[in-house]
Amino acid sequence: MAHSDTTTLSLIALGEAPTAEEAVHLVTCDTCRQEWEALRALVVAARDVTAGDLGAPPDHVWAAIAAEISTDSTNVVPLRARRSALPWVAVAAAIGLVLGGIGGVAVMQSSETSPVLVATTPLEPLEGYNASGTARLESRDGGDVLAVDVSGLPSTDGYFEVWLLAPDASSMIAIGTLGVGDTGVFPLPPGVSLSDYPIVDISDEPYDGDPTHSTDSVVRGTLPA
Amino acid sequence: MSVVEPLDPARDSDIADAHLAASFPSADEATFNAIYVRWSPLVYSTARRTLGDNHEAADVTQEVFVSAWRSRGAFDPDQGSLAGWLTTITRRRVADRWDRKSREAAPTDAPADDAGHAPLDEAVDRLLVADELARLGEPPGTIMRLAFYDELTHAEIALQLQLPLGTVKSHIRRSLERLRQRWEVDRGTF
Repeated sequence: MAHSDTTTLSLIALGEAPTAEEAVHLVTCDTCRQEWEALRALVVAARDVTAGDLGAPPDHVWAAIAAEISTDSTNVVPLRARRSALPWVAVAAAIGLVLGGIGGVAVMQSSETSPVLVATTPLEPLEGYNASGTARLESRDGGDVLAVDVSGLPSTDGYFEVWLLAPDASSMIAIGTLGVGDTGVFPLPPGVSLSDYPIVDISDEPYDGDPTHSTDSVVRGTLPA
Repeated sequence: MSVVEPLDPARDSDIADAHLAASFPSADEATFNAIYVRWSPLVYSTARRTLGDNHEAADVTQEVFVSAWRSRGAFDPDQGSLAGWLTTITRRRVADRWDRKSREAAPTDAPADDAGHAPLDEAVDRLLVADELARLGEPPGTIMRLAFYDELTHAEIALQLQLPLGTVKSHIRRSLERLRQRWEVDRGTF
């Protein structure tokens, strides 16, 4: 028997009775059965929602969005205090060093599913620098990663370190160092909240054994919440 | 005898959707509002179905669209549909809330495993179908609602709507094909 046509399979998927011949064919023909199963899944999904399940959000939601996006700016938050006054930096950076160390080997390029872009921000130079780039927060199989791509970094006798900063720069987490080249992918510690640490910051660090932020930031950008 | 294919009232909405998606990466606030009007029911309803709470669903909707606005430059219309992109963000926001709740409920527990997210995919699938169903236009919209919800046969639908049998069958085939195609595009990306 010839394959069932799509119309026939559609009607059967909707629950109409097949003829005896059609029923036999469905049981014996893989092609038609797979087609029917796909249509059936669609019918089941459609019958599981009703028109009332699809509803517009209340009006105040757009008002809140409009208010939020109209105040968007790329204000750069300055580091407010010197390292000597910031004992928490040592703690945060110590955690960061450990994580950074792990990061060197823990970055896995999973090919099972493509990464999902959660948020992205341009990285813009601070005064005195010309570097710029982008930071992308991606959700991958193994967890969240921050992918950083910068160009125009100045020459340095030290190295460049990537940080996540609180909005008021009152706390920060070092997430790794940029190696050779201007790109890096850094796994984020699970549980780090983007709303607590939205600012991506890359600093020029001297080889002075001091794990805290040098306060010499080169580029910065804010990931959207 | 040749069967005349019915017009496709859904095609205009496809063109409008594609136009909105193409303008999204460089959208101004007015364009973004049009995008919000078009896709916020999908986002809100998915959140409501998975979180079971209108207030939380409203909060998630706000988060998703603010996040979408700020990341709009990263959206590539050639890589997939905007509905798929927005539902991916929605999925993540809902999963975050589930994780937060389970951590609050049992702080020492490991985060919920993927199996716990199956209802999320299911909800997204269903609301995508509902969204597309709402876009079919007429008469296919009415025909498919009678077929899906009232479970009428094509012959009963033809009788009720005073349409030729062939026309009803043709609408059913084309509408299911369309819904399936949209479903696969929207959930197959990102």
